[in-house]
Amino acid sequence: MFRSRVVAIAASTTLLFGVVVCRLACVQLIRGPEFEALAVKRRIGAEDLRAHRGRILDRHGSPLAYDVPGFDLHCRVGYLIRGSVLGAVHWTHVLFDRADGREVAERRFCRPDLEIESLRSSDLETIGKPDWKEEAREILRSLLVSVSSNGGGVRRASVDSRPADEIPLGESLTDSGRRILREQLASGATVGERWADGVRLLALMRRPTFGQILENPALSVEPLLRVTSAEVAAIADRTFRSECVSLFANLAGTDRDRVLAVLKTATEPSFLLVALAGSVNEARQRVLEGLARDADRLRGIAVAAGVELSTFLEGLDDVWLRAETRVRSRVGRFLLEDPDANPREVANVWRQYFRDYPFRSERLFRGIPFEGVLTVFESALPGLTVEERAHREVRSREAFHVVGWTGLVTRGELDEMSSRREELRGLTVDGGLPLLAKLELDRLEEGRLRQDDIVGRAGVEQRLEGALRGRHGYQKVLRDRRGRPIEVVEERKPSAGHDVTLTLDMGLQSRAIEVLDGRKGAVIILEVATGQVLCLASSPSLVYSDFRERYRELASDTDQPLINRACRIPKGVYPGSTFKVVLATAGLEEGIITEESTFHCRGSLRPGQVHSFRCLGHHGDIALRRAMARSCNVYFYKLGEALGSERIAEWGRKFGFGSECGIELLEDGGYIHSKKTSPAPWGKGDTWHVSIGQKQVVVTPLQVAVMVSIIAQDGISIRPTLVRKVGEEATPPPERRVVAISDETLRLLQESLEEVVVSGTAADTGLSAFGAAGKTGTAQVGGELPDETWFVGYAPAASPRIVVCVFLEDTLGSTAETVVPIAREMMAAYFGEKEGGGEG
Amino acid sequence: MKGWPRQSDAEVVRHLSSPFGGAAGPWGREATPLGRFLMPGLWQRLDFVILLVTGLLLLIGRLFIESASYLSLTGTVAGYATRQVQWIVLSMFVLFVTVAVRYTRAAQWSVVLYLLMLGALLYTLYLGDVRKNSRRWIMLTDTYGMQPSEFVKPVLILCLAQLLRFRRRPGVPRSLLLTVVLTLIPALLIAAQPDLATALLLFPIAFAMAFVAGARIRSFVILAVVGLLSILPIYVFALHDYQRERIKTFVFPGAADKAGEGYQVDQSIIMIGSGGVFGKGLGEGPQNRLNYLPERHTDFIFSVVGEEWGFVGCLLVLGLFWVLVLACLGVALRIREPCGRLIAVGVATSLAIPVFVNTAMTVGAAPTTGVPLPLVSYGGSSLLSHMVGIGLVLNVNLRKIPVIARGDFGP
Repeated sequence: MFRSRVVAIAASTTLLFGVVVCRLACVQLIRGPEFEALAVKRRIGAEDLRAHRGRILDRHGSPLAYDVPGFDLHCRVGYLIRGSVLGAVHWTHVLFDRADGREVAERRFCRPDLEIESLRSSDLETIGKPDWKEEAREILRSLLVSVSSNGGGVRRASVDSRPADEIPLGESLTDSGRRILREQLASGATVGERWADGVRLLALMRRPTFGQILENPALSVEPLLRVTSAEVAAIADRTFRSECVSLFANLAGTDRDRVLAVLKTATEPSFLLVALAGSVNEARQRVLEGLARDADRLRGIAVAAGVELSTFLEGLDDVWLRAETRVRSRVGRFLLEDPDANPREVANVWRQYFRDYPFRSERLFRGIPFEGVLTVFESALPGLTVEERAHREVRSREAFHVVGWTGLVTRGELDEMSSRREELRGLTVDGGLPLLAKLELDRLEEGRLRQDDIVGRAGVEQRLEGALRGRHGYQKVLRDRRGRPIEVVEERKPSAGHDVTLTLDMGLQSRAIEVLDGRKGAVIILEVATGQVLCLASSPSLVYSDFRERYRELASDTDQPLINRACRIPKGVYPGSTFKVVLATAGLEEGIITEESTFHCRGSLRPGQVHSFRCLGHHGDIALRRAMARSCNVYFYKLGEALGSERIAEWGRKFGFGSECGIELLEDGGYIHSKKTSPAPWGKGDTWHVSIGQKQVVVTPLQVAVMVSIIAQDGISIRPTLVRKVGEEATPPPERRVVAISDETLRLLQESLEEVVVSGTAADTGLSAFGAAGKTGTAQVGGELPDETWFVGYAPAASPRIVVCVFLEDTLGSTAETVVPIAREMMAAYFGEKEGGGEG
Repeated sequence: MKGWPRQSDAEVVRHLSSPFGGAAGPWGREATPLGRFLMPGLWQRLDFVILLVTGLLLLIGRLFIESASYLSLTGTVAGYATRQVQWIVLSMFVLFVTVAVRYTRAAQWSVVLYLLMLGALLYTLYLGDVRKNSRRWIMLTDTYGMQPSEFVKPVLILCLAQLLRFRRRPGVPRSLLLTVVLTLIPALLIAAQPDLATALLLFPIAFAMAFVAGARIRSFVILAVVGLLSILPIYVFALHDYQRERIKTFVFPGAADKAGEGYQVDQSIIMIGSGGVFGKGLGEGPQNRLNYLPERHTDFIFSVVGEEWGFVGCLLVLGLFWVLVLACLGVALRIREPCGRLIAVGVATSLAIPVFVNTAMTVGAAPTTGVPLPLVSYGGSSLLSHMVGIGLVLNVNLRKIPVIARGDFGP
């Protein structure tokens, strides 16, 4: 019997070991790869490395729009319930309730209330014990006073007004971080250096450790030294206790250095509060003090971030809500809203979430100033971190409309891109994608947008988005259990977007804005031989920061300051007499007029009638040259009548009207109506209107400039272009198109346009000094409204180098008083500069 | 048994009269180099399998404790490995002493040892040092301390062996009841520390010994029923919050609070699973190096083995333990002397049960308990206690006291 029983014991031992071996086989052999993946997921976290957007430069290489180093304030949700800012608030709740002996509000564990007002009203009453009820009330009262005194709005003055050297270097910085910072502040480094250093600084300080927090002299560890193990054992709250026990067991009665040494290895933020508290009662008090202190720190951070404290708290609340939404979507039922839900279960859902995403951070505020970064690190609130992210800076005013602006990518755009990717992936045939789909997919992956990315919304920023946008990199970081980064295991450097060099000459551009002086209008200067746009000014122009602040207001402004008047049509823009160039060309080419043929002008087409088609004067028999110079309307009425609206429209289209010019901006095409295409019934008067560029013809200043450049270039039309180089690569020369006009006609037109400057409507205005040729124009918008005035011309007439087009809305007065001086100024600026540059 | 020379009456007499025990070997007592301190025939009678396996397990333990003492935060290595070596050296000495003293003598003195042990437990309970929320320790210096609860096992084994050796059928009410009471007293003292797992692990040892000693199956059934009936009141009234939490975590893993109680097991399974077949190599396990698992040098050392040596390493460790347990049981089968038999069985059980509980815990097949892996986990008290046990078995095997157990003639 003995033998058999011993054998039985041997057998059952074997059986038990067998169970473990089976379980091991299951875990290691069958599910091994699965756990391996899980292990990797737990210890390696990926972080985006954001790429810079390319710069936009003018033709001489000075930057118009560029990324500047910027910092966003982030909040790590995982810390919120662990005793940091929000934790302090929410702990107070829990402790209040415990003190009262009721566990009713354990639910608050999941939802710290951020409104301090409501904290007072709802919770002060629930404090049961009289002895610390008073204290709590006192602290909360002072807190509330300080909160409400901030209601008027905190500004950053207190941070910014100090000279750089006096900004206290945070005790929480590492030595190297401090050194870099000091050097940086001392040297007044350039943008690029600031950027690099800022990033390095962040890498060094990304997560201040507990030890660094403790180096802060504001916190005392003295109470800690007096803690006895009995006090620890008496801690009622289990979480408190288990955290404390291991800490205090080795600490009681030892010296300060040793305490610090032990604490430095701890990282749990809630340790701090408990550790410094000493005992439970003191802990309660400390929590309340912590609340006040945190509020102070919060205020400091709010000031640093340039927002009001209330806004800041709302931001925190927002972050919390976002996290809650995620948790809710994970739970899949409305556990969190269920008042009868088991608080423990709810807390578990949260903890599970924080376990899965321990370091997930949510953006609180964008673009805090560099000094604010320091404040955040000094405050050493564990839940708050700073992430670097670029902000777009645009050189103000001069080239606002050309450069355009950027905005955050929207949820919709992201969804659209990802659904397109899905769609492309779905096209798989026989395990492979079709070539085109693969190419598109690659491109989509390449330029993949992340949340919070900025994309161009207008101007060159928008049209050259593909070139400007960089490719994001990533970094896979090995982390230990507490989330401390150990090493970078995999990295793809971000590659910045290409710089785009424009053809704009900022000298001319700023001169144009200057002479336009806020009047609504546009100035364009084209280089005749190359089609390059040297100046494309639209007025009123805007200061970028102003634009950021007042976007909504500006967007609904009836003056439409956001529209680029050089190539967009805010409301009817009529070419007026400048359109006579088209009429004259058409008449000559169609053989209706010759150089000598005349029409008779009696000052009006139908004298004596109320709705008469008037001329500027009484010109009598008049031939083409003089008709152009004097801008005789009757001549062109009659010519237009002879041509008919169809042929006018046809010639208009040959000159590029009615369709976009092809510049690298968003532009309008305008239209020329004729009898056939008109939506309304066509009368004889409509043909007459078209003949002098009114009502049925809508154009952009850029089209008018191109029209004149065709005459100046002897019938060659060049697509106007704004982009000179993308990256280091020069863009190919713009396309050319030959407009079939006889040399005779061109010569005659060029002479006519010279005549305008010599003896016509633009005579004696100083334009002849540049040997210019051109055409003025005045368009009646209708009724009593002010006119639109034009000057378009080129210089020098003998061998044209530039085309200048000036357009003003809402003007009173003749062209000679309004637009022609502007044109003169621009030519002076161009030639003066050219001469000066060439000889000097 | 085969292979052992039959002893003459003279040898038996000499054996029984020698202070350090031991029969004369083929060379006679005077022939051994160390004279009377070492028994003649030592080298033939020493169970080298047990010694070898114990040595291997100690070595493996030392390797993995070093591997598990890397602190990723500071990049330093905690001093566990060095201290463990000191403990190993000490335990070797204890082993030598245990082997040298005749076990029958020790068994005769077991009542005294038992009372001393109860005294130590009471001292711990009232004057011990608090560590990790319980009073289990008597600290000798800042870093060196003893856990008296660990030494309950060998003393209880000796005591029960002495009690049960001549009971052919120790049935209820007397012998078995006494066994239960003898076990229950230290168990309750340990449970009050609180250290429920260590307390509960005394019972399998006692029952295995009673079982082998010939207790009726019926008696066990009655005991089992009583035990089951007492579970609920114990769960409700006697357990601490955290203990209930652990049991809940084990029974309902889905509802587990993964960040807290469930975290360790969760992390342990991931570590073991990620080891795969051959593991990451000693000292190379990423989760280990990054300190993902708290207490990995003590209770969760097996997880480190799993991660760094993989399935093969786990099989090796479990296999070594299996060989060790079977070798001890083999001694029990070989020996005729009833007290020695029971000691061997008791020691075998006192090894097998913690090994199972610990390894099963690390793979999530048993609730989380603070039971270390014998011989491998860091910890001096546990190591000494198990070495005493192994010493007793070696001792039993060495003596070969030619007493005929009653059971040999039984029906």
